[in-house]
Amino acid sequence: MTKQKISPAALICLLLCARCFTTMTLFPVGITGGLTYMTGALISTVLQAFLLIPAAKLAARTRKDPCTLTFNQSKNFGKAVTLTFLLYFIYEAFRDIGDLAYFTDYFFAVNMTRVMTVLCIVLAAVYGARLSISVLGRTARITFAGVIIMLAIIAAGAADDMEITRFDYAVNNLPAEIAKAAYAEFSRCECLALFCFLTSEIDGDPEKTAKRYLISKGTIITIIAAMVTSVLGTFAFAEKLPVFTLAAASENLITERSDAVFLLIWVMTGIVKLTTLLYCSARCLRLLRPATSHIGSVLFAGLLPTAAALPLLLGYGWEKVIYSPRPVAPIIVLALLIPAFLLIVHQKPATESEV
Amino acid sequence: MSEPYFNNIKTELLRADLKTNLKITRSALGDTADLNIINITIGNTECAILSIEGMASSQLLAELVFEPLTSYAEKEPTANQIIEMLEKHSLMSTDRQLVTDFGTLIELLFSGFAAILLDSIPRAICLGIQGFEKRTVSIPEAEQTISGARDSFTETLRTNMSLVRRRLKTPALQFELCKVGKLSVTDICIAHIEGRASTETINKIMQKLQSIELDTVLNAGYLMPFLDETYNRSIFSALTVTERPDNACAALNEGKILVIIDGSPGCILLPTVFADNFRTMDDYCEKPFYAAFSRWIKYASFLLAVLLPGLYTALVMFHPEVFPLKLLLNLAAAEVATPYPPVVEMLLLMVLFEIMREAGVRLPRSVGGAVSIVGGLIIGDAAVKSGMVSQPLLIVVGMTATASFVLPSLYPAITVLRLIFIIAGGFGGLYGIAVASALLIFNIAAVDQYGTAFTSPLLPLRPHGLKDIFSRAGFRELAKRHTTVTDD
Repeated sequence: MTKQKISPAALICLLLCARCFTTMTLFPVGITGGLTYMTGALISTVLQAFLLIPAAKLAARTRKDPCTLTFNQSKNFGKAVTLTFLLYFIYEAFRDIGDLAYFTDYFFAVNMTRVMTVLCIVLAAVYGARLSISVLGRTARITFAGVIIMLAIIAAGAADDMEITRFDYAVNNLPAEIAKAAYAEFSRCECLALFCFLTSEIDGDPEKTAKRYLISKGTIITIIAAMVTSVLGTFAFAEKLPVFTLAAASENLITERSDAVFLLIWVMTGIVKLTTLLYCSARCLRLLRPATSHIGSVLFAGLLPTAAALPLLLGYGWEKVIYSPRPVAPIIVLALLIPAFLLIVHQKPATESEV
Repeated sequence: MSEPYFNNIKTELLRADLKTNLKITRSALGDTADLNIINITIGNTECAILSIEGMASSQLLAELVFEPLTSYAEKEPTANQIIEMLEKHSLMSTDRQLVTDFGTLIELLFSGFAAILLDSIPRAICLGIQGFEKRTVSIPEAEQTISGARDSFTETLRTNMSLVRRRLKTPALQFELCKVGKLSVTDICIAHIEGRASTETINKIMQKLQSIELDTVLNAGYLMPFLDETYNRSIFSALTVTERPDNACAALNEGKILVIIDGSPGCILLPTVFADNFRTMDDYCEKPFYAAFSRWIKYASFLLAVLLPGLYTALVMFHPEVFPLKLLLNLAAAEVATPYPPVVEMLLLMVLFEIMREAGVRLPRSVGGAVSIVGGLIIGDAAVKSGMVSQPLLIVVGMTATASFVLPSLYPAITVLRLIFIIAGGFGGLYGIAVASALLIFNIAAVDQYGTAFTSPLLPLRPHGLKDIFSRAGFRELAKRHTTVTDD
């Protein structure tokens, strides 16, 4: 069977869904104003463009993911790199599952316990993760179209309440605040590790894909931040699910509020993100233990973050996780250092057969 | 089941002795009552004419076999002269085959051929004089159109082939025949346009058909699990069954493959994409603006049919704040008077609707109307008046039912999905709907048939194909650039 490839557009949508979910769930804590955040996000995006150069070049040259390449170098080194990727993906899946269950319970009065909420979402993601990457790509494209439609509906409904003065330009120490926003934004870019891991599977140019992804990401985050802060002002950074709060104030000719649309799309982006993380985790698991079956690895990848998230959710300790700082080091290691090292090792262009 | 005796002599050659041949044939067919053997003598040669009662036409048998043979008998020919005349000079039938083994002889007899066996000749001449009862070409019942063609496929393979050939008079249209079914030995024909359909797919389909181990193939449904690569994995089918020759020809032109089954008026088209379910031949009789509008109505109907009851249940039960105040008050007043939660009411009504639909389909047409009256008017009205179900919910069910009739080819999938969404919405609100939607999208996106994605040409994106999805491409445009289902 030939290995299924994913189109660059589908990969971009996959990563954008993951990134939009994080942004829609919570804005970085401690940012003073909308304009600061947007500027920080844009600066962070520009910096990420430099950060992704090694990963994109490596993928273009070898057409293999970093884990496979390191396994080709040395078995132990390969295991260490794969384990690092696996742990990071599981950590992100843990946060994703917890956020979905916590906020669904917190904001939407559904007739389900947290255990049921978690189970539903994990089983849906396991079902998706056992399919091929091209299927995930197609799902992500549909979901991302949903994100755009949702944002348009919310923006149209809340247009009357938007005011540019709520961007809050008055900041005491502008460079420090912008640096803080850029750092906060960077720490939320788990999609960079996903890009590094998945970019070898695209049937296009990885460098162009990275460029297009970063431009789209910068644009969509700025749009979301602008929409929310122009209505909520500085409160946007104190609100859980800030887009929900905006959607609740967005009225149109058919419905009184648009939060239902938001919930629908937010959950779907969460599922797409979780599915992608489980898919990547399962691949790491199969690299570490080649004897593991496909479905077994996906189930195991789903089980680990669920088992970690459930006690915190049931013990009502998830708040601590929500406001805990996101680590930047894994992103730098996985998206910059490992690809850069491998790029140096693989200076020689790949032979025809390798490509 | 023990191996029939027929299987043992399939490859055996015909003998020179007529009596032995007749004995073996009779015994192979188990002395079946519908085997007709007529013994005649032409000159000094013993002959036997074999046919199957009801399969061969008596009139053609008399005109094309008996009459020429008896007139030839006056010349007192030898056995070799008779066989030479039958093989080389006779114009008795357009379909004439020379047979040397019992397997083919018996197969042809059951296909409506008459076989002429001569003493001292180890061969048989088989003449196609089929005369079995068959339905004439009639108006399609399952795929109605307003201005499209009015003929439909019948149960006869050759008639169906001719219906296609009549519309595509090109040598590029090719038919390949094979037989499937150990007992039914059903003729299956694969039709395709050379250069449009993928050769790899044709070979793959042929291989799949030849590897089928079924005893009987009685309709298109028997072949679907073998031809549909995602039969057990998806709620949607990437194969379409059509009874319209014009539909089949349009699909052939798009590089699809048509599988015609003898004995079934439904022919299989593959690979099909999701958007094919929203296209009809009528679209190509209307102006593009109206055809595009009609397509959008169909897309909206699909969404309504699948999502509306689930969404209504979810919104009423968990997210009533989204309704405008006046509507919310009306809904609250209606729901407060009913004893069951909306999810139970909705499920009850949906199941009831399916029961009535099933009854309407199975009953004769004259009685079918009565079922609709009983179901729609009497039960519906009584249910609302007695306070069992609320009026808005009945409106939702009515709208959903009407919307689902717009897309008959998707009806099975719509019915199941609708129930799933009601349950998801009833127990998990919009969260449940979101999870179910994600699963549905995964399911649709996972269908990949013979290298063609079910979501094509939208995903993966094929810009040229898109023009005929959201709107209707003009004929001038179609003439300029022809796209097939596998085009990039």
